[in-house]
Amino acid sequence: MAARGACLLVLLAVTIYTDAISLSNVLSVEDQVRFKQTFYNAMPFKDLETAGYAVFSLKLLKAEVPPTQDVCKFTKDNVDSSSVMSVFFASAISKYLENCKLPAITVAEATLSDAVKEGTDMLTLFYAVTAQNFLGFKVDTGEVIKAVKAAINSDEDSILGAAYAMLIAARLPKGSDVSFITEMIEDTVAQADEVDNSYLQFEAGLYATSKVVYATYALSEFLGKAPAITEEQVIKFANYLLTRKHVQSVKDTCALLYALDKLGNNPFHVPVVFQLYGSPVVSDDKKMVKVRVTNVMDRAFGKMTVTGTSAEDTEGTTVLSNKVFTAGPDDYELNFMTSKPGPGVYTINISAKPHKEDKRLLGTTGGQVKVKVVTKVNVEDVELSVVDKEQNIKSKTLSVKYPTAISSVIEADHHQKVVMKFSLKSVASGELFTPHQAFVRLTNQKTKQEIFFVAEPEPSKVFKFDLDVGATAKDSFASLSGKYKMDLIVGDAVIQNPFEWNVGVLSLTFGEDASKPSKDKETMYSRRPEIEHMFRVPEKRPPKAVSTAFTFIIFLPLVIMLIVWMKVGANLSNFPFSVGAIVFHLGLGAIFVLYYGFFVSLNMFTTLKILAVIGGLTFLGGNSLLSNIAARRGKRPAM
Amino acid sequence: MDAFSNIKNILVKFYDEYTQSTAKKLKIVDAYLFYIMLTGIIQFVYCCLVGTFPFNSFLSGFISCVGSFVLGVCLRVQSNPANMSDFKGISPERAFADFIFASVILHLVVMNFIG
Repeated sequence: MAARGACLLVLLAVTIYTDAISLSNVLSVEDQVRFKQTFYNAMPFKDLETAGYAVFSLKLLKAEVPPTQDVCKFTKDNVDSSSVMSVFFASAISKYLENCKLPAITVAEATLSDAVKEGTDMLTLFYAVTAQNFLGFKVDTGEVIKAVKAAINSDEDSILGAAYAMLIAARLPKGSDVSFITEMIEDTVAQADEVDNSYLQFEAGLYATSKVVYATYALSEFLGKAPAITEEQVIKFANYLLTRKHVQSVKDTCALLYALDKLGNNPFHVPVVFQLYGSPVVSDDKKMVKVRVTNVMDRAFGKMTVTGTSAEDTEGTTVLSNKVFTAGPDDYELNFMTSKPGPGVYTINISAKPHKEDKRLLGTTGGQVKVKVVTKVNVEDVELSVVDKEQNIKSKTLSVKYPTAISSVIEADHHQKVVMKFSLKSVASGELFTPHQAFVRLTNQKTKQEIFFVAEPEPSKVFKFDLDVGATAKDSFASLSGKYKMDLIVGDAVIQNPFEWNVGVLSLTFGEDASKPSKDKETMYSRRPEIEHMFRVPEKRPPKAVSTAFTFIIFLPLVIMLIVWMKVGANLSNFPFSVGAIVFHLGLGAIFVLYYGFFVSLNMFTTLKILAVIGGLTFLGGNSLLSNIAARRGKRPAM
Repeated sequence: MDAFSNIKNILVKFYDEYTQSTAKKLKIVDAYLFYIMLTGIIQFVYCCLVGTFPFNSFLSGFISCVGSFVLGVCLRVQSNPANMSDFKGISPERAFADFIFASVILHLVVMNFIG
């Protein structure tokens, strides 16, 4: 008993959950026209496959294939009787076009019957069986079932394979044992991925998803047995398919069209779509909310009772309960303003009940449409006053009416505050209204600089704009005294008449620290003085006379030394005129000349090279000279 | 006055002693040293009066004086017969050759530094 109760609870929960989802999107008439155009754009056809998809789809859309395109001849010219796929498309086009008999092809019959065997893949099997069916050839049921079983076992995971298996089953004679294929429906659907709790799709993409949906219902219809698929899943599949209605390729478009068509018309499950018809904006001038109740192909159902069960605004306030929509020619409408909604965005929950009971319909209770109630506002009780900051005394109060401006200039200095109070009233309800945007704009009449302030509503919903002249001077006005034009700007998504109102002119006087920030801004980007490289300033030099004098003085000690040497009695009488002595003295002299050259012009390396030569010679000379002297000294006694 | 004449006496005695007992070669070296010292003093005076610009020239000139003075003193010490016992293996000629060699190297560096 308890188990049964739990089951019931779960079932109830599922039902409620199902109710929560419904569709709000359809493949509208415009979309269908666009689809037709996709197929026309594919003409003239390049291959048989594209031609086939286009012909199937146009047939479904009840559109003509233009007679200028001789598709029949194209098919006859291009069919390759040794290819199963080619034969399939040719036979299908011939079947769909009417008046297009293909010449009897015996080769094709052999091709098809050869294809039906174990080891053929599912797609080829599908092509072969369907072509046999179209061309009126004999279908060997036993062989087909064996081949299908083999194909299923060879690639178990293929979603498309499952879809084709179902389509093959739908082509077999009634009474064939295809229960193993019927059982695949549930397994296949279970493999779909759920996205955002509202979409179901297969990883393989739009084509696979469309094919599965189409094949499931085609097979169920053929067998006369409801598919093992829950209502919730159907709606989620439909939701996914409808989000992909902007698909481009001919093949995908064809698959999508067939799947949606099946969802729109089959004996088991038909999802209901509630959609807003016309503008979502509701106001006193336009009080009606219109909805359409259709299938996914935008086709209206028969007469229904459509009820607005509730309507909520964004904060969750309910304004409506169980109002019945009046039926129009192809829509249902409701005077929403009778519920006296305030301005805002509302979600209306809708349910529908057909006059004649129809068990196929899904999602009849969870429809939702969003409407926006807009209103006009009046600005009232505008009061502008200048208040002394310290004593809190109103020194001046003016009141003004929209849309006139205050004629006199209002003066305020940095000891005062400018306070403006105003209230916004909805014209329809007469209630106070707080819009999203309420600004006060001050425009300097000289520099055209605009400063914005936000007017904040007080808890009583009366707006108060409070400008502390002294405190805002530096940051907002850059302490630029002068005349400022004052505007009030009010706007909101739900206001029909947003406005910008010139209230008057303020003359503001700021403190003495009126800097010149505007000039700062100008000079910030102007050319800066060029940076030039500064060489080191040479140090102060002594007068020429002083340095010249010292140049001579520095030679003085040399003279003194020579005199002293003469006094002491040094002489050259003992000079030995040998080769070594001459080389030695010339070498020394040459070294000093070389040093002078180094000081004046030579570099270190050349100097060192020359020095090595001269030095070597001098060394040899010196060596022989000095050893000579030493030898002579050895003979004589020391001095 | 006493002190002054005393000092004068000492100096006169010192001078006489020097002129009589010092070898002629050493006197020549002493004259050279005196010359170097005077040159160094003049450079220093110039630097004090006028300034050190150009500094590296002043520095190299002054260092040249100091280096030459030191080398000259070495030469004098080594060639002094009174010190013969301390420098046994070094003849005056050898000392002179060393002096010449060191001076050549010193002035190479000085010339390099003078800029």
